[in-house]
Amino acid sequence: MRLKRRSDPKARALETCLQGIQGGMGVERVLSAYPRWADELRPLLWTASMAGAHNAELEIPQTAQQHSQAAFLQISQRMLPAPERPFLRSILRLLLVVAILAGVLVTAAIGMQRSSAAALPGEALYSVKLAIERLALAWPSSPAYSLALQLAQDEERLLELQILRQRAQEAQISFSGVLESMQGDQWLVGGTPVMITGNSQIIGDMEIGFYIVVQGELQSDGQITAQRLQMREYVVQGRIESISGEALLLEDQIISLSLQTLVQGLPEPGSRGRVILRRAQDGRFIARLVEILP
Amino acid sequence: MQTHAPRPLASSDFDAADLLARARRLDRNAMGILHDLHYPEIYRYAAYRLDDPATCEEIAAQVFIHFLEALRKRRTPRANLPAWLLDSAAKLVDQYLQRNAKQNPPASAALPLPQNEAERQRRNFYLALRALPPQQQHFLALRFSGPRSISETAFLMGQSEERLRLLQQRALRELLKQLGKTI
Repeated sequence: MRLKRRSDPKARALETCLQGIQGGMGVERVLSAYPRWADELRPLLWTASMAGAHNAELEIPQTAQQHSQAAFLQISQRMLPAPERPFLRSILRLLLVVAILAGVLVTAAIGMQRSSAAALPGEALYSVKLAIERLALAWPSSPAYSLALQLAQDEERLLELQILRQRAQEAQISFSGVLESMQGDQWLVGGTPVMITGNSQIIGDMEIGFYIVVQGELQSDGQITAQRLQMREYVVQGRIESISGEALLLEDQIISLSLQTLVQGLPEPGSRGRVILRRAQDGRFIARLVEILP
Repeated sequence: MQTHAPRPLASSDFDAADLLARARRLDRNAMGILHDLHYPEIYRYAAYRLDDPATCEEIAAQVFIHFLEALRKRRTPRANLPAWLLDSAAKLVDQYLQRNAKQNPPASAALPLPQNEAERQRRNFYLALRALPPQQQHFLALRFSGPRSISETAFLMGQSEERLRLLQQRALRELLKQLGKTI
């Protein structure tokens, strides 16, 4: 192998010539060190100069880079562990301080809060769990974080539903899923059959391929009877970084715009906006309403 | 509003190992720096091989999504992240070219006539480059899109300099031959 390497001096000569040219020397000058191979190396150096000049003036598309970074950061932040956990921990820490000051009463409240994290619909502490979730959403955060929080809460509802079904337990439930089909009184939501009755309230227009919220009654046989159905909507607010006819960058969150998007006020970079979104099956968040805040 | 003027980031400004370690923890700042640091070289690489800016933008963005996927599966490299990213870009470019070759007629027939001499040379170069084996295309794109020295290119390709000097000689000979056909 070593002998083979030493038997290729032309490859080394070519590289030496290229280095010389990159260092500012002329072609004929670098070739003067290799008169025997000059005729063979000259066209290769010409080719290398073509290769070096190809796209040398290329400019990096700044808008594409910004969009790529926004998507990259958005997805990476969604990969963080369930976002409500750090918040719950910080709330627990805060309550602990209050508990030291306030004594037994607040300590009892902390205990209640801890217990509530695993509470299921129908259990005593479930309303505490929902109140903590609402509190988490009220805390100022970036649009992507807020959205991740809302998605995590959707996941929690699905987990609760799964546990209740495994236990064959009856309960009042609420969950979100993609509306897959609407055939008569049987709808399919996120792979789960939902029964529609004369008492089921359908709020607004339903659109297949979008996430909806189902509130209803889970029976012990696992069947769900819908009481109320509506499109799942998420609310985020923040500073508008950029806007085009098709999309809006709200701080760190890309939001798609459609012809149906309602706009209140004049959206422009730098202004603050509140956006109500719907979630499509393909993962896009599509604005239903963009409201410019004063 | 924050303006997004290009930030003059350079690898030397950062401790690569520290940046990668922070990225593994999904540290937002580290992720932002890592993206801005490597996006230009990935875009340049793709644009060196493909004459389609929209596809190059797509590929550059896709490389970072692959990186996140690898992070999730804990398959990111412990070192030499640029090599990993550029290798990912190379695979995407190869896939695109293969797909395109199956769907479309030969590129020379499909492309519109160039408007000027510079554009004609540029198109001829793309056609000549595309006729080379993928490994030679990859080498030339790494070596000349930077531009990078032969030792930097060897580091990125994980091969010895000696081997790359031979590859360089073969690739330039083949490129010369193909350019002769297109001119």
